[in-house]
Amino acid sequence: MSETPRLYFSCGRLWTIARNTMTEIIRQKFFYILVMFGIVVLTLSRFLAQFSSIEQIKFMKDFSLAAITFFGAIIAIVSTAQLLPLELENRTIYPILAKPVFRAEFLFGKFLGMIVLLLLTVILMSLIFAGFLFYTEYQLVQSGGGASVGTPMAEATQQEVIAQIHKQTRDPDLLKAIGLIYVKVVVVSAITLLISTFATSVIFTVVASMMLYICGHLESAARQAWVGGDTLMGGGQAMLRKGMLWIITFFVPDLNAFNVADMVVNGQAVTLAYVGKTAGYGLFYSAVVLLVAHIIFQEKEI
Amino acid sequence: MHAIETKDLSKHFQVSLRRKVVGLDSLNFVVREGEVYGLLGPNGSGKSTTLKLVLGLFQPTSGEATIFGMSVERVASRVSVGFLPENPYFYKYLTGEETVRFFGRLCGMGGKQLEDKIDELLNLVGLEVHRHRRLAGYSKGMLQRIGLAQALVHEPRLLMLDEPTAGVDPIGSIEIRDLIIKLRKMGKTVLICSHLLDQVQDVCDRIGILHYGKMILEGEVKDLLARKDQFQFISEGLPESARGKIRETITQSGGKVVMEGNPATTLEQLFLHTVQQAEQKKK
Repeated sequence: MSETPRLYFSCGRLWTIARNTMTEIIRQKFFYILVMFGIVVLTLSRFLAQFSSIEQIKFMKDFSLAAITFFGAIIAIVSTAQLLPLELENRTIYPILAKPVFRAEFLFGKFLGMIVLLLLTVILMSLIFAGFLFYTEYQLVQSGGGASVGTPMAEATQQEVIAQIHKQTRDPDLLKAIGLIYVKVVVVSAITLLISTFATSVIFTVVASMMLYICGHLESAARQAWVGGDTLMGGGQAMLRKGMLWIITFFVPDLNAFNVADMVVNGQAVTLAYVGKTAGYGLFYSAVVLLVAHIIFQEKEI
Repeated sequence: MHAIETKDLSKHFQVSLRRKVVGLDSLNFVVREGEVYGLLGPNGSGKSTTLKLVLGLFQPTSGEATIFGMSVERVASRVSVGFLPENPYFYKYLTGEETVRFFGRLCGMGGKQLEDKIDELLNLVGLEVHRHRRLAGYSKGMLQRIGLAQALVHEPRLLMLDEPTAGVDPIGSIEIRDLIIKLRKMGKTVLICSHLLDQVQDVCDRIGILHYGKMILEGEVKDLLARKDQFQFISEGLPESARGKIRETITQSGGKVVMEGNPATTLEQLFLHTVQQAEQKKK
């Protein structure tokens, strides 16, 4: 047998596939979803006038962060669910794997393309959100802090309200919240990719991923309830519950951990340590999920 | 060293818990370097399974395959291979130029070397004019030609063409056939899977016929097709009176006239001649 040439995992090939994945998604009218998001946020500002100035900003932050999470997750699930099945269904994978390309390069390249696009999407949505936020801030400051409500204010109170508005709109914790939202959609995308390696249809992948997404948000509440219940039980039952809990924690990520929007909106500090720990958990979870996806995809007959 | 060699290569497909289907049954064959080999067989005979096993897309149930001596299990074996799939399985949203560039990059090419190669290949397959059109707007023949361009982009020593002329009109088909002949002259090894037997006959040095996953016939095309117990002359300007003498000579020599008459042209030649004449009139 010939010993040459040797071939190693190549970042060049990985990036070629990632770039092509981005082109694929962008050219498939993907950005209409973002336009829709812009319209939703734009429409939202019409309804804000009924709140007091601080509430208006708080509502806007709460709503917009939820919208970024929701659209990010939807895009992550729907787009990722199609990455592999479309390649297999259209058989576009054949000429690619007939080239000197490792399956790992193909799988991770598709994922990389997806998460780079998700990053751009989250950035774009955040910029739209920031645009509306600063525009609202400008309007409120111009109107003296509470003109929209129509109540005259003392100058000192007015200054205080304006300071509060600035504090709410220029809160650096907003960036931490958006960063964690991104890590969360990366986790969701990785899970969806894993499911798509063994699923029989795109619909199955989408439904299963959405169910896991919902379970991921319920996980922490369920865990707390179960742990609390242990004190009322005998040793055997408690052990069983702990085992079940361990399995659930292993298979379902705690997606609520990434949700710091409520803390940011209510002015509670989000520590960098928490952000680092949570992001680390998300990235580690994604890496494990991708590794499992790779093992399944490596053995898959295409 | 052979371009392709298989040893007892088998592939069984599990269709249900108890049932297995034999896709390929202990296949032993070689494709020699520099030859054009035709792998023939009816649908379901195992041609595509063989290609997928040799390309590493399937795992064999047993046996092994090598490309230029290297096991096909190693991704590096595909450095020497260019593959044209049966149907144009390419990204419809890419243009012709982008498609060749994408596959070139996958093969580690880049910069001026790749750009020059793209120009050269698009010229070779006659798609220079359509290089900026998306594949969604390409005809089947054009897709087949862009498929050839991507297969050739990294200058492979071995080309594997799965039904290269399927769905292509006769002129496009002849162009592809001529291109294969040109590639053989350039020293490339070509493996063709096809059931368009006329074309295989024209370009292949050797053929193998698969049936239910087994190789049932293999050999040099000229040896397999030659009827060694018969002989034919084709003459021009022979007067009617001389034909009787020839018949007589054959009979007297112990032979037998099996067939005589005017040789027919092929439908392909008739089609080409008619279209060429029509095009000349149009000009």
